[in-house]
Amino acid sequence: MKSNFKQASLRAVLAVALAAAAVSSYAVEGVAGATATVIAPIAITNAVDLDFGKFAPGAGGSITISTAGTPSSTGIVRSSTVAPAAARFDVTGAANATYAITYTGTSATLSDGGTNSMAMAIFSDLNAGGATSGSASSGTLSGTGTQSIYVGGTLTVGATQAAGIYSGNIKVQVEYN
Amino acid sequence: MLRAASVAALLLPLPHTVAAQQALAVTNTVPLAFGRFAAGAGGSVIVSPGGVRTASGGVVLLSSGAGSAAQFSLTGEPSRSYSISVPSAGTVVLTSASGHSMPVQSFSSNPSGSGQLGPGGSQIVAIGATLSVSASQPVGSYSGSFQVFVNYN
Repeated sequence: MKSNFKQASLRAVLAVALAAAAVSSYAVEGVAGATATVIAPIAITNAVDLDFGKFAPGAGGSITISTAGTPSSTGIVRSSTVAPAAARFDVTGAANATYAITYTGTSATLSDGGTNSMAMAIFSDLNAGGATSGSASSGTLSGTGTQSIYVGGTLTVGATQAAGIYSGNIKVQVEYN
Repeated sequence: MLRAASVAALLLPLPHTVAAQQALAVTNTVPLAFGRFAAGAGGSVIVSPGGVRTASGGVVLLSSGAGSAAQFSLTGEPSRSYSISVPSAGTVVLTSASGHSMPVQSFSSNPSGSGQLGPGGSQIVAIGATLSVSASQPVGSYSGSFQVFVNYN
């Protein structure tokens, strides 16, 4: 009788131990979603060059081409044989993405390839709105991932500016932000 | 008579023991998001358990699509310590509708390895990871899921 009781108690202890172990080893699982969106790289192409047209220095002065391509001048005598134009850069990338615009590396002067030059200052906007100052430093791509940057400029012409073809570069860089 | 008492002793502790311990429960409250980025020359996107997103290699992050660390809400026995395990490298992959994929590596959690439930019996566990992005990673929305396991210590 005594030995039977001992056996039952041992079994009880064992059952308690098993019950406790069963609960504490119950691992619980949690599941979470994970997402990522890969977007198109941003790109820029030069669609139209900035063209100041053709002119004689006259008394010297300046010529400005607005972002809409409209010329205005002082002192110089413009020729109508070459139509002026504002530069246009086309940007493509992810829909609705915002980006920064910089102009570092743009020529401060146009040169005839020799020793003659004319100082150039540029300005820009995003809608060919006819701006003649200021510059767009950021943009937002459209729902189809496109936008254009329009660049105009002002050229300073000397009274004794040597005849020739003057050129330089406008550098526009875009970067997602 | 003595035998009957022994049987009672055998049965009674069972419900008592189970009831004393509150089961651990895990609920996902915030998904893991690597956000929007351009693949560039390829690299990785890292989201820390604190939710800070960084890129390596040529990947360019967009501020317009910020990421987030995953968060799980744990509830259970007050002040009880628990262990947490996160997926091992390469077992989780994000895929796009067109069948392209990016593997998720280096899962990390905060608390890491093990933690302790608060006096109220709850705690938030945050999970971060690293996404591998190839140079020619096709544009698209990628998604997947992962599991974490928690257990009382």
